[in-house]
Amino acid sequence: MTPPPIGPRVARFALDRLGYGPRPDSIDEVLGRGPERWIEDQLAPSPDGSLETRLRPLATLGYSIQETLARYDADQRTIGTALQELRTAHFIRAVHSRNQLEEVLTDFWFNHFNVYEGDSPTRYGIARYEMDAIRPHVLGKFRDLLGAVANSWAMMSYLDNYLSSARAINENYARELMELHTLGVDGGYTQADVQEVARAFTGWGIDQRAGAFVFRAASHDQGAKTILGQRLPASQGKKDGEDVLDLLARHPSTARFISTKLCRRLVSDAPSEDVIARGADAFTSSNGDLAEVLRAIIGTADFWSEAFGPGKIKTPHEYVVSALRALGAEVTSARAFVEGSASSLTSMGMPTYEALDPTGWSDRGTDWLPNPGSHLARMNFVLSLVSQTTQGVAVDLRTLIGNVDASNAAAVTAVVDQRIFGGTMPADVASACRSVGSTGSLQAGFKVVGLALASPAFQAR
Amino acid sequence: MPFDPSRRIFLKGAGVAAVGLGFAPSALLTRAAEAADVGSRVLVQVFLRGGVDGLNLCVPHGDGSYYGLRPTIGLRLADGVRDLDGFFGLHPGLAALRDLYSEGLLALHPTIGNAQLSRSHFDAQDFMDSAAPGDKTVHDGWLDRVARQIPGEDVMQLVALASRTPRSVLGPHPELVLQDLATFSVRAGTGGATWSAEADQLLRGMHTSGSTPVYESGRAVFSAIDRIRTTPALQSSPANGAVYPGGTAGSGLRQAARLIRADIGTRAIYVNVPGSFDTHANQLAANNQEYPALAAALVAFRRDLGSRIDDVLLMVTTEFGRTAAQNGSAGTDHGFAHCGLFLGGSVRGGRVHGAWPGLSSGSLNEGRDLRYTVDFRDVFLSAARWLGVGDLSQVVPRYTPAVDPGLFA
Repeated sequence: MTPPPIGPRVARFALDRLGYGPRPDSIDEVLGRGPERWIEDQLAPSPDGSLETRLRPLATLGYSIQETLARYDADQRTIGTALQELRTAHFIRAVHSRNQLEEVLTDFWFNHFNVYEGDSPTRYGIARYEMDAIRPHVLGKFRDLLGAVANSWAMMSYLDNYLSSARAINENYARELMELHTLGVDGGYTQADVQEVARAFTGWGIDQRAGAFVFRAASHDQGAKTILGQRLPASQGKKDGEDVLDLLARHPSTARFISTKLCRRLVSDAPSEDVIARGADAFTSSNGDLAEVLRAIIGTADFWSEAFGPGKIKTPHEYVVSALRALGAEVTSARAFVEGSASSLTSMGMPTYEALDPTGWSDRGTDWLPNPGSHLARMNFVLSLVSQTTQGVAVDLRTLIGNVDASNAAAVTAVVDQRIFGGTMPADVASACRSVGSTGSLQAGFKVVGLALASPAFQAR
Repeated sequence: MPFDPSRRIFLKGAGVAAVGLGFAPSALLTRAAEAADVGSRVLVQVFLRGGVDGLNLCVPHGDGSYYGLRPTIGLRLADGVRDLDGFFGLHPGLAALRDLYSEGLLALHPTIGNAQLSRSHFDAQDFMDSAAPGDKTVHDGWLDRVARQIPGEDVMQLVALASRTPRSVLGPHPELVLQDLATFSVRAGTGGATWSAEADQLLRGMHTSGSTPVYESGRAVFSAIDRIRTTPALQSSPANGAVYPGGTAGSGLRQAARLIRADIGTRAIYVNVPGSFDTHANQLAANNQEYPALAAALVAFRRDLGSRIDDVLLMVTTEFGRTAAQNGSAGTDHGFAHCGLFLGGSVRGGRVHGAWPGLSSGSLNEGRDLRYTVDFRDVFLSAARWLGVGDLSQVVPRYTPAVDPGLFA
């Protein structure tokens, strides 16, 4: 790994790309620890006691699927409580966790293996899906992640595989497994492969009484199958599906597809062939070890040279989390800013857990901006945040500015530039921030922070 | 439907009279259309995302194979299917559209598709938005290419009512993407109106220079704020007693009608409608949930526009149709030909267009899907021609047009 000479700019870049951006003390922390060691810390998450304390009030997070069904199945409307707590947990983790890369990757892989919370019975398993199928594997082996997803209630329900049987095939999961989860749409499979994979996964489903994944041997198509030229012998039962997952996980198209997507998240909208190949090679040589793929991508000049470019446009989710972090905000409920007002994530086009399609949200920044409606919602979101009117979010300006005079716009501007922008705040942004008036009920310091976070410079990472 | 003294009714009357005089009504209509001021025309594309099943939307109840392919989800006249022409009928949830059909404002085309079959939602939607199926090197959208040929570069000319920018409008021409015209201003929380105005001014200043997409986006925000603030009609209530349903179709068409009635130069509008259209399982329930809101939105839109409907062409599109046979989950999988709906004064309405390839096993594509008879690019081209676009070869790249599908006069 060869990061450029370390300074606040590079520290901010590392925090922006491998996390959700700096909190007020993060840049100092990365500089103190050194970027290599900080990155290694991120690649090996450690327990975070204060995060656990923050999550403790959210009782539904501990429920099994069976318990969730028992509590909410009679009245589907009330499951809103559990989904609300799941959303809040998602933001508390993203905003407060010291293991920032783990949070970025959990979000990345959830989106890669997207399921939609509006779908029933998918929704009863969505919390366990994120916590048990996705999160434990984001820095582990791809095959383990793929297997945990395939063996999950949420995925078997969302892509209808629980309805597929030898007599009545449903090919939804089979297609998306190849197109979206592994090979990619141009990864070299045919409609015949889709139908054969669908046969291999017959019997993979959910037990609605037990609240769990189940394999039903009686529904399984016991005939032989041929997938991507490989023959699966007859009468293998559940092993058919596991064999398909093996085959797909070690396919070169998968290595390339996964590397491309990770590069798009970490490097740029249009990563070079070179950096994609580095990631794909690491995927293949490490047998799909995701931490190794990340090391390979982070170790390229492509990655670090991004620190000196215009940056990648943040998704609405990245924007909201990074603003909350920059302010040093304390989040206890995500409700207001996910679905509340005209400046919520819903208005920005990215309501949490509500990507309807199996493709998930777009990972290209230019798909999110330019977009005047969504862009205005971003500005109004941070302006309302600094007005301290966002329910469930506590903002104490002292966390960011310490003992600096909150009525001194110039002094607050300097602190924001140093602690949030790593010294990169553009001159016109700084000059606008310094010029805020002191009239009205809102302190100048809050106005400065609002303008800085609404500025063009904070829309990219 | 209340009396509507629109040019369309006049034209219809003129056409009928002309038959008696020995003139072909179509020729008369064409001449009248040419004489009309195409500069006031507006194209509206409604995109239903997920791959809508055309066979339960425009039900071929007269095709002997239909009920055999769909033993439990096939819809019968007795289920409330509204007959259109003795062979096709509308899904019961779309019954409200039957009046628009009778009035001659609505047409259906149940066999639209293209040769580059993609069963991937993502690819198929992308191919349609770019109007370049199979060609992933084309990144701009077909409506952007249409807008580029309309004089002027105003942000209000091309509007997408969507939460995210659809590929259709991507490209060099500026576009406005938003969900709600009524709340489009800088709102600086509890700091009061003075602080909101101050924030508006300072943020405006920060975006004046800079050439990256973020800066362009910011400039578009403030230019749109100004246009909306100075155009009260953009906040007006629906006209003629129109009542829009909730949901994205209702909200999108309500905003579209506002833009059209405000007469501020909007020429192309894209309305994105996500919904439960990807009906792999329990299709009947999903369709029953989505269709009434869609039909109510279209009926309200037509009523709201009054005689302006003559200058409007609305196309309802989707990325592909679904398998002819039902699957094992009382649903349908990704198929081929899809059904388009067309609403407006220039639509050759009151009929179901296109040849019918049939649903017998020998006539299905790959033994599973309804075949298409018209390429969607020919539909897009004829819509662009109707809008007054001069160079159609720029609208759909590298494509040799087939015959005009004859959907619009």
